[in-house]
Formats: sequence, structure tokens, C-alpha cells
Amino acid sequence: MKIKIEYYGIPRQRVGLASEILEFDGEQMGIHDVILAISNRHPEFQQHCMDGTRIDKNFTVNLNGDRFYQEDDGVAHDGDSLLILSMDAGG
Amino acid sequence: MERVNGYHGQYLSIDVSKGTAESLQIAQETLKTYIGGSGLGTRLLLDHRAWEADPLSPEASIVFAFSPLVGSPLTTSAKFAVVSRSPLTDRINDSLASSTFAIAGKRTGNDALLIHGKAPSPSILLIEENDVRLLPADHLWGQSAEATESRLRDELGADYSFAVIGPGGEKLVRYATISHSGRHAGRGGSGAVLGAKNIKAIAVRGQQRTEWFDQEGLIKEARDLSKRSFGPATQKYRELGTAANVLVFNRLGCLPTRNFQKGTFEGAAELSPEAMDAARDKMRSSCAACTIGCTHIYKLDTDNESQSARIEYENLFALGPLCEVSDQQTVLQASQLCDQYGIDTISTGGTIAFAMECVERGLLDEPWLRFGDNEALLKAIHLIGRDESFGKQLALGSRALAQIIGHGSIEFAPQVKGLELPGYEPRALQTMALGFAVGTRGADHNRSGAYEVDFSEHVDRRNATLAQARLAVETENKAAIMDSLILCKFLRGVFEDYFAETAAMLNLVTGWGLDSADMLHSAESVVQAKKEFNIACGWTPVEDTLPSRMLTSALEDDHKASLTSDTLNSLIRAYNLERGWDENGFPIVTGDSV
Repeated sequence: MKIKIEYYGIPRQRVGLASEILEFDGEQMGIHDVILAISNRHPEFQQHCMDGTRIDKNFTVNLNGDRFYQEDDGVAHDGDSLLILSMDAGG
Repeated sequence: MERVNGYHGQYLSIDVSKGTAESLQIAQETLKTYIGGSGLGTRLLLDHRAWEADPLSPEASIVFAFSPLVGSPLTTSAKFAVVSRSPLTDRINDSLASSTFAIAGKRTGNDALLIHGKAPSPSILLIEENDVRLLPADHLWGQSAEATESRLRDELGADYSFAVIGPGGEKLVRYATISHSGRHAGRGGSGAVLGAKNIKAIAVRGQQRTEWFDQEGLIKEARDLSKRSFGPATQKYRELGTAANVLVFNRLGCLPTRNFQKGTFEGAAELSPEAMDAARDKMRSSCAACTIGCTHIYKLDTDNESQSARIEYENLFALGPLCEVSDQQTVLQASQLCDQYGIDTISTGGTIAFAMECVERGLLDEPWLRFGDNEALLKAIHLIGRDESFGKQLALGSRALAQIIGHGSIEFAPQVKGLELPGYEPRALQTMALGFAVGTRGADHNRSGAYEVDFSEHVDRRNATLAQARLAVETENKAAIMDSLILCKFLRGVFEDYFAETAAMLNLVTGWGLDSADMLHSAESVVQAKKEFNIACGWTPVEDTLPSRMLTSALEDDHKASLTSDTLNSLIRAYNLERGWDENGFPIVTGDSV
């Protein structure tokens, strides 16, 4: 299955990409596992956006522009977009 | 009175009609409860019955309130609040700014400056400790805020700090700002209140310092806070600035576009900081005593090397997508013009976007004023700042303009209580919708941080439930403390236990031994004081709402983003009960009532 990863703000600065499509086996995948795959693929992401094996608390994930998720909660399916962005807003 | 660490224990009441001043004491219990900044300013206005005066009358009062942390080594603490009855909303208004004016103002030996009366002619109010004088300002009248400040520095000396108004304040634009070293107390029209008093500038200087209860502990805390302020919680602000929100909000469908008709904008990428960084020279700067450095200043396309504009998300959104303008140069120029005239970018963009829609609907005969027209946007700002032709009506704000235009245009005037909405689409961010509706100064993202709730896993941001009322109250309480201490809200992500840590900070300064419960009590007291001021001004529950179009139509480009008046009213009732008020929002009178 294919999942589009969209990077915003600091994650985009670190990874150097606006988006990319990652391919995985199976029909669905936990968001935590998608994050780990991104972390393995991009050392800069691992260094700056991860806290051990979890995404740093200053970043968050959103599925398809709809709901925000804790890593443990959400599941991504084929064709989904996973947005990775800074936690804060304001301005 | 007993000396209180971190405070002078007094404020200066200045009558600019006569050029005289009187020192008045502040009870320690008042300081403990209302702390400083917005809280203290509101308390003083209540004590002076400031609700009784028209905001632009000589009798009106305006307070510059400092705080116990000003002058301390804590990062971002060089801030102050300007509090008055707003000429735009007719309700309480508190706008904050960071600059050396906070430090120099507090060194006059006062915790606040309360100004009333009207100078007989354009004047500079010079305050040197308790010595107050009026100097002529005829030669400065008509000058931009920046030029005025520069000239005053030459004339009076660099050891003064200044608060100045631009032409917008002189001409009583209802959303005129007060500027300080390029920063602005921006919202609600405090610049017009000063302009109505014939005060072009305030110059402050002094040598009075306050004591810290635990100097060693405070320095240690300051070092730790500075270190945390360099961390990942503030990374976004340093590297990209608040403008980083443009692409995120656009993707989430909550970037207000075409006067809040849509939540996405085709030209968003062009206005993103990533695109601006690629196309332009940029400089970063910080407010006084700040280690974050969120200010991003972009160079304009001009032969003049010094032409540049500070860009934040709010001016980008209001002068870009809201008016359907995607040209970087135009948005930068528009921001720069607002700064030069001394007018609030959000209300400027909101009012112009509203007028553009009225023209499009055939309700307004100003055919040149069209969505997406770069030159029209710049022309409209010039007309506002110069108080010329249609600019006279634009200068009143979108609510008053809608009342002039009629034909039901009030339904899509982008305002709550007269204050134009900031860049958060309420239908797509429904906790924020509640925060806007109940905000005492109107639609506001600084007094309610409810968008944080919407950007979390705790809620479905497009389908509000009553549980969100409690979360909205929590963000409002945190903001009340931040605005009274005062610290920059961009620090909020560095705190693990917000009320405990801010109590500890205040204890290092004052020695009061406060705990989390005390801070929460202060937050609730500050919010309630503002509410009581509004009630005294004539507030009624019908004011707590959103523009009716937002409650009857979904977003054009996201039909899932819809909000009904029934849902909003249920949220408001839940909010009021959560606050301990009656369901209509009136505080229940007790012995503790403010």
C-alpha cells in the first residue's frame, strides 16, 4: 500500500522534502510504525523530530487533514495522507 | 505601604488636560490577585469607573500596565499591556507589546501609568519618574510611528523609551495601534484613544528598580528558561516564524480566504515563509529581552535598501488570502503601510475584505475595490491612513461599516463585538469558534488559545462537543496569566506544569509563596474583571456569537466544516457554567465578586 507523507514547518526543513510517497506491505499500518519508517529513512528526522522511538512532543500527526492522532491510536490505509507538523500554532 | 518585591506598589494617574500627575497606591492584595499587565490594567480601569466614558472623549482613561517580571532576567519579560475601553468594540481592550518601554516605564517607579484628560494641542507626554511634562508635538503630527520615534530619540536622548502613534491614531482610525521600537500594541484601537487625547508620544525614563525576593534563584530560573526557549518548542518561531502556519492552515482548510468564504487559498504557497525565504533577503530579530527571535523581516523589491517589512502569520493572512491577494510584494508593502500609518493589520485586512465582498455583491459603489486586486488593497490602506474619501468609512471597522451599508451585510462582517476575526476559520476550528464568541475583547486568538485544542487528538475540530467548553476555559485561563505576568505566549510549550511553574517564577520575584490554585484563582479573577467591565459598558449575552453567515452556511470548499447557532449556543452555555457564571454569562454575585 502507498501512503503519502506530507511534511510541514520544521519537519520539512529537516527532511528537505514537501512530501513523498512510501510503500508498505499489507492493507493498513499503525501510525507509530509509519513514523518509525520515516525515522529510519531520514536520519535528520530521527535526530530532530524524534524522542527515542516516538515522535517528539513538539510535533504532531494528522491523517488526511482531518483528525490529529497520538501515535498509538491511529491507523493509516492505502491512499491516506499523513501530515507531520509542528505542535503549536499562534501568531 | 509595605514594600512588595517586584513592585513599586503605586501607579501614576496623569491628567494630560493640565499636565499634572498624582501617585496612587496599589494594595498588595490587588497585586496578588491581578498580578500586572492585563489583569492590573483592567482592575485599575474598574476602580476608576472607566466604563462611564466614551473611549474617544477627554474623560476616557487608558492604562499602560507593567508587571512584576519586568526588569527581571527572565526571557521575554520586557512586556506591558495597554488597557482601555475600545473605540472599535466599545468593550474592554488590552493589547500587549514588547519593548524597552516596559523596562523604562517601570523604572519611573510605577507599576502602571493611567492617562486621562485631553492635551490642549498635539503633545509629547514626558514622564521622568513622578515628574510629568507636556512638550509640543506639532512638528511630529502626521509623521509615521517609526519616524516619530527616531526624531524623539535625537531630540530627547537615547535613554528615553517611547510609545508613539502614527497618522492612524491621530485621525482616530478605530483600530489604530501604539508602536514601540517597531513592535505594536495592535488590536482594539488604543492608538485612537491616545490620539483623541492629542498625545502623539509618551517618553519615559527613570532609575527606580524593584527588589527580587530570591535573586540567586531568579537568575538560575532565568538561565533555565532561556535554555528551554532555545529548544524544540520554539524552533518553528525561530526558523520560519509564525508565517509557517500558512501552509499548514491551508492544508487543514482553516486559512480564512475571501472574507471567510473559503478555508483554502490557491496562492498560499507563494506567501509561505519557505517561498519568501527562497525569493528574498531576510533578517531575523528579537523583541527586547527575548531569546526566541521570532521576528522575520523581509526585504521589499525596491531600490531603497532600507525598505523591509516584518511578517507574521496574522498580517500575511489578513492582507493576503482574506483579500485574495497572493503577490508577495503587495502583501509586504501592505504590511509596511499598516506599520507606517499605525493601524492594526488584522482589522485593516478584515475590513477591506468585507468591503470587497460588499462591492462584489453590489451593496457598495466602490467598483475599484475588488478581491485579488493588488493595487486596490494598497489604495484602500492609504485611504484609511490618510482619512480620505471611502477610507473614512473603512477606518470605522467592519461592524460600523456594515451598519452604514445595511442590506444585511452585518451577517458576513468578519467580527465579534466589533473586533475583526484573526486567521482561524471558526467552522473548521470549533473550539476556537467558542473562544472567539465569548472573548471579552471580541474575536481574538491571544486571549483564548482554543485553537490548541482543535489541533490536538482530544477533539474532532469540525464537530464540537460540550466537553470542549472546559478545554476552552483552560486555554483562556493560561492566557490570562501569561498576559498578566507578562511572558510571551511562544514560551507556553516549554512548561510541563504551567500553573505550578508560573507560581514558582512569581514566588522568586515576590516571595509570596503562591501555588497552582492561587494562579488559577488569579486567572479566573482577571477574566471575570474583564467581563464585569463589559457588563458595566452595557454587554448583553447576544454579543457572544459569531457572524451569522458562519452559523448558517458551511465553508464553500469544505462542507464538513459547518457550525449551527444551536451548537454554538450550547457551547457558550457550557462555557458560562464552567466559569461559574449563570448560563447567560453573568457572574453570580458573591462576597468575592470583583
